[in-house]
Amino acid sequence: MFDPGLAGAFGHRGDITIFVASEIVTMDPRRPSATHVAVCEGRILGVGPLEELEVWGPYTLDERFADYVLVPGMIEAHSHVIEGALWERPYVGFHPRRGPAGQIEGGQRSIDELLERLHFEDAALTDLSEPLICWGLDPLYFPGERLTSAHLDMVSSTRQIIVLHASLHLATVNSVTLQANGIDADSETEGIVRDTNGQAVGELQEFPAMLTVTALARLFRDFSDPRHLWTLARQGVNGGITTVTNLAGAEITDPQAAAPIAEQVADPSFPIRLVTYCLPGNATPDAVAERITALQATNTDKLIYGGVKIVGDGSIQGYTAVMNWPGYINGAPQGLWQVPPDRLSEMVRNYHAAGINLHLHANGDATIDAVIDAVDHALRHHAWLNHRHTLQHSQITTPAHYRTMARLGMCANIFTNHLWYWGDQHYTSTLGPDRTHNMETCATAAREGVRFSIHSDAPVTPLNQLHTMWCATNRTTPTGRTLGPNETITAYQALAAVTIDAAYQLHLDHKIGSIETGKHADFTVLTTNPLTCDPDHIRDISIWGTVLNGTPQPAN
Amino acid sequence: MSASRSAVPFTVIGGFLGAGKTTVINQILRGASGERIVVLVNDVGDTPIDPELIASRSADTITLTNGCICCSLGDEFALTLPDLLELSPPIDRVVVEASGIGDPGRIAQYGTLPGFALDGVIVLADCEGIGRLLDDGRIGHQIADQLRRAHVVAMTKSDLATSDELKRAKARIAEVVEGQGIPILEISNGQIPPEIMFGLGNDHVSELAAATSDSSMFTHGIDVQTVPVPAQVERVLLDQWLAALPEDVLRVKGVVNLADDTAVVVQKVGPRCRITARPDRADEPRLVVISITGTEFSHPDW
Ligand SMILES: [Zn+2]
Repeated sequence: MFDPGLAGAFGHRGDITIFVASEIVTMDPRRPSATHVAVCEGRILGVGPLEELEVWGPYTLDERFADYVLVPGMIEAHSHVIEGALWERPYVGFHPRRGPAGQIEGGQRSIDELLERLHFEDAALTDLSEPLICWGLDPLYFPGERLTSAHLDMVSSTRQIIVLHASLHLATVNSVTLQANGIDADSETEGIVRDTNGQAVGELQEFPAMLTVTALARLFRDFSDPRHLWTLARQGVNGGITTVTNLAGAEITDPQAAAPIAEQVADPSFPIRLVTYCLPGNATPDAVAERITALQATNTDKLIYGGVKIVGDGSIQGYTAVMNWPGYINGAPQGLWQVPPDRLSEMVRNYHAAGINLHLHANGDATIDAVIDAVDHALRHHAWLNHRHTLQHSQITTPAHYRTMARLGMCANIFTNHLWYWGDQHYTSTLGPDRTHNMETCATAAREGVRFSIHSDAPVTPLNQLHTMWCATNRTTPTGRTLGPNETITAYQALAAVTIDAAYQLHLDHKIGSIETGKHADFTVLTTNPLTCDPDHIRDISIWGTVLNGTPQPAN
Repeated sequence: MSASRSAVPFTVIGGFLGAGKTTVINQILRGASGERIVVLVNDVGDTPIDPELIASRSADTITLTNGCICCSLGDEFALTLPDLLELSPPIDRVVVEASGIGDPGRIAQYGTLPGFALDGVIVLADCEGIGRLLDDGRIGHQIADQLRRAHVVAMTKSDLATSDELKRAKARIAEVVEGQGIPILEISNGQIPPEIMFGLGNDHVSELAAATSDSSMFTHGIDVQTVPVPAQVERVLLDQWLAALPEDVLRVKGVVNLADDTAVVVQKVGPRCRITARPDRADEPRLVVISITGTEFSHPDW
């Protein structure tokens, strides 16, 4: 008797499309390279030469990628939805970035260039009462001169001008903004930077001080609006990414957040797969486990709740990563735990026991110690060998750490973009030369047997895995240093890190991450094969766009 | 927020896990006596509230029979804080529980945002455990920072400690906060005297003053004294006197008429002192000093 369920599971019923490409890099070592891939019902029906695929019956040959290279759909395993929210505003950072419409923005390399850009954006805003909020300023690149309200007053004496710094921990505003929000000599909030006369100079440090500005409070509140998912998805497609993550989901702490997200992602035109790891908030482990399990029950092919994210400490450039001896070279305090280590261990044990995959943010080596100890401890109590708990950022992880991580079955997601974006600053100001050479040691992770991915932490750095691969294969800085030349990895290793090995740490390597029969038909479409081009040029490869579930998604 | 409404007092309760924050919060809710207090805790599900006080509860909010509300402080806590000012009936006070590892001084900054008035940061330290925590190589520095961010340190479970233990613990804390003018108070059963916990909002300077003759009104271990204030005072003398007060003075509150025909309200909690202008001259200027019993301070010679 005909069983439609069985037919759906075992037979193909949809139309077959066969894509031909100049080369298909599969990242499946059984067949590393091919010329054709057959797609049916959004999945890969077969890979190989055309004659081997014809056995499936009638097909349409799609030749639009005949001059392109297909690689497995790239995966960004550590990014944030805020990437989408920020792109509703002008980007004014030092390094140019590609925006959702494909435009190149930023590249303001001096305060004068910044002011010129702000003038332009001010003129473009027709509503005179609307504050102009821009983002991406990194004062580290303007040594010697600090942006103040005096600069921004030259842009406007009638409109509020607000420049958010790249770290999102600071903002600089003009005098109109200070006045409109009653920020004056009497303001008590810490973080309002003042001159020697006690007058506010326009820089607001940290969240409480930024919240004294109503427009910023409103902006931050809007960050969680699900409409920003579309911009995030757009940015992903432009960066050649088919699976993006939100590594700070609020759906545990705010149960109402889930439904609108599900609605957006379910839209057939939503062009990306979204994997979310939720922050647990302060709820008890049982409550968190129950909630994440309920969310996982709603998983679809496109919206996947992977597990729980735990933030152990701060950042190295913010001097808040918790450090072991000898610590920061400027003698800054040893850093700030976000969760006390004993409590971290208790959380890891409980979530691990409940079978929840954990992604653990740890930048400082003391925090890395605590995370590895916590997983070790959890495994003594509960023998879940397939956990794939992942050390996130993993910036100064030592060989000893990686050896233990390999034994424990842990993964790493290494923040290689730091080498380019802050490598020079780490060299001179945070860790000093020798430990900066030893940052983001992908080769050591590989040598010691830890599967790793590499990431952008967008919006902290741009969402583009070719750039992230380039950082890992070249390890150069804007001033021309090569950091830790022994730690460069091959293009193949870097491509694995953004495809199959990223999929592995998300527990999705059976569905995505390589071009093999049965998996989702997710491809990244490139003009050049990153495995055979000069590694120096990986970041310059043009991205046509992606294919998600068999549907081409051109980049802007 | 209606323009006529005065700022809502904002109190922070800090201290590491096990310091006794939950007990203190229960005491606050039980003793609310007519005030509508919103208490923001790390996790309502993890905060045992006396069952007889509970009127209704949902996943993240408990409404109490006395009108108080206890709710979980989400990740977006700072952003949703202004929503509290829209509640009806209006609230009288906010108390926030800082997380065990969090910086209570940082949370206190939200109490300086429009609509709120920072009323004090009370950091709890468990007599028995604080020494060990401060010695912990991993988190000791962060525990010490929490103590230094306090306006008042309250040593909890003092009734369970021997007098030697108590002395040792107090010496450790004093060493950490040395020179910062932070008083260290001993409490038991989570009972922080309300006149120390809350300074703003309940404009009871005159009540306090009237009650100073009746010492039974006040908690054991606390002195409340009224300092005579002449018809007018030089501002510089007022500042000097306040600055010279010893560390064991917990709070000072009062109204003073200045020599330049203006008047001010004085609010001091531990090292934090706020002197703000008052629209009209006070009929009965006075200063009330609340201190740990036995604290000696010089009365001003103005
Ligand atoms: Zn992140």
